[in-house]
Amino acid sequence: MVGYKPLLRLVVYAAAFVVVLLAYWYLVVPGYFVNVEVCSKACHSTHILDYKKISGPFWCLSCHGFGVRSEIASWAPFHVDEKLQAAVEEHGECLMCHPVPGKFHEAHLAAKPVVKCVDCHTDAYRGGHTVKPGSKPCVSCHNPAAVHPHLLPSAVSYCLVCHSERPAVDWEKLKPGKASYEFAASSAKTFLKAVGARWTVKSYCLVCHEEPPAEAHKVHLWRSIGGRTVKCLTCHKAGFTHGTKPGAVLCVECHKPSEVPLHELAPEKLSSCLLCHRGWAPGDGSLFATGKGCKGCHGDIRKNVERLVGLHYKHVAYYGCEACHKVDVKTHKEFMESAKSSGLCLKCHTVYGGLKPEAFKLAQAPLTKTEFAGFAYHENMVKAANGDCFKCHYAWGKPKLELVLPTGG
Amino acid sequence: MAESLLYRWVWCRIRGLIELVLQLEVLIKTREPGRWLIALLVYLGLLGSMLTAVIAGLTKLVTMASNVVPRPHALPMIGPWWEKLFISWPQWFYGLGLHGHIITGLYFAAAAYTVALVAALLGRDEWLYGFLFGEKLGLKEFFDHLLLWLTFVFGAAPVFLAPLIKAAGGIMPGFQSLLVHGILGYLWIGYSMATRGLAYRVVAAAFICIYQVIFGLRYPKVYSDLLEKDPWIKLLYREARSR
Repeated sequence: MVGYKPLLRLVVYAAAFVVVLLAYWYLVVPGYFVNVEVCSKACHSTHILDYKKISGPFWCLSCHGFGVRSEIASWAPFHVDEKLQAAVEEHGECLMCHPVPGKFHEAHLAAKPVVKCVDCHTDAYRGGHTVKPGSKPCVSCHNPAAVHPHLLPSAVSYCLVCHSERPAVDWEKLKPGKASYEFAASSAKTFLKAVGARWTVKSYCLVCHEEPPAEAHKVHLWRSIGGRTVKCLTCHKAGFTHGTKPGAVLCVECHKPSEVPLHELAPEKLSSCLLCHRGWAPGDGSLFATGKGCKGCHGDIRKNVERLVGLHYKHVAYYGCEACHKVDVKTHKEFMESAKSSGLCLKCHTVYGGLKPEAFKLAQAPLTKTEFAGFAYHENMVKAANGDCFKCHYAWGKPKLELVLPTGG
Repeated sequence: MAESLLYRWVWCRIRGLIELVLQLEVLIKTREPGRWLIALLVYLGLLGSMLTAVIAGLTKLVTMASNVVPRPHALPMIGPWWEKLFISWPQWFYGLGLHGHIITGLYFAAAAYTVALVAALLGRDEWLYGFLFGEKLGLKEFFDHLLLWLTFVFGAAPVFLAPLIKAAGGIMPGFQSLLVHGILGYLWIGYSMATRGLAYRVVAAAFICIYQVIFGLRYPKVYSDLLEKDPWIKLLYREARSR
């Protein structure tokens, strides 16, 4: 039988214990929450568990499940946040401590099929809790080459530089038509810094884009003209919008079309250099195959026949371009060069300058035998020119030999 | 009277287990629920805080070395996912280590020890006096308890020391301020064990119970003096006999 004194002592000691416990708790624990970061900024600061809500030593008993069902006492009536519970079950327990950082993560958590935190944070359970995932997990779902066909594989392999919660490079502005080339170049500089690149580039554009393989780019890029080297931003001006193509206005900064031979023949075409100089884009077939053919630019050539000189004067009225030129070539230069063989002349002409039967077959307009029968002394002229027809019969300009007929023919 | 086989082989082991956790023998013999409660809380608190201090100390080293993920779950090692036992060192550190240490140290030991000390010194409770200091309060017992008190005080260091460390440019003022608490705590455990102080007696009480659970009606001879003279431990085992 326990007497009243022991019972009294029990009450006194128990009461004293509770008072001392509460006093110690209030003296100590709030200070932990304020000053020990791992308490206040890690586990005890989720949207469910805010340390400021912890108002006493037994507060934790009210929701020991941290907002989700307890693993060891799932039957216990602890507070359960259904939304958080569902998110944890779907994406992983990381969400118990970590709030969803932002839109980038939200988009992934909303994706189907379901993405778990550890799908990207692959090392979270393998000693890399604070290690941010690289771009490797991205490619398990995304195909950068398909998404960015115009960018270099080396650039698109660093997904997180542009695509993350706080990307180093603002990819939204980098989209064509958004910001300037200057911004794009500075973004490329930032990109290199972000990836810790040790390589250097001739132009920041080449961080993301390959050097254009098109002929016109090859001709211009890195050439030293007038003491300065042509770089990307020489034509794709810093102030221009990223993605826009430079117009003819830029060509005339260096070129003077009016001083280029033959350009004076078609002044109405000079307003757009790109009408003829199409080598900026990768080859899409041949000049002839662009759909326009020679007549696309020279369609009125027969109307202006009186303005033509040299070989064209006599031939254009009867023959198509393809009779002398290769039309299935990629550049105009190639097209021109293809007709610079005297052998072509001998296809239709004799050494006397007369016509062979082939000339009549190829003609698109009626020819008469008497029109060009040839000259006996022409054979001697051919010998004097070493078989080079073009020494006398020039195509457009002045003859190299002042032998006959300065106006050609 | 010779004990029955059932008692010698089964019941004494079960009683050892009960004593390890509840120390009902103390209550039965003293018929003092207040003293029993305070003594039990001090015993469980000190035992638990020493154990959790060791766990926290060791696992902290592992977590720092490996940077593994801290998991907020409650004791997954007794849950269905056994594998988590092997990957959740932070669980041991944060769960059993830090929180277990706070609960056993602050909730149990500090509060109950304070009540026991006040009752023993001011309330002249002789039994609690004997429980705390053993046979007598000498110089080594004084330092034993002084170290324990200092450990308690520096357990609250984040309140008064952390802001100073932060102002001085400390990178982790919370944990840095607790370093003193940790050092003093381990020092107290070492000193108290070496001088057969409070820590030694608490560990001995637990070890005697465990020994009884394993070996039945026997106890290690090294504790025979405690079982014969200590005002608290001698109450634990009526039938205990030297091996």
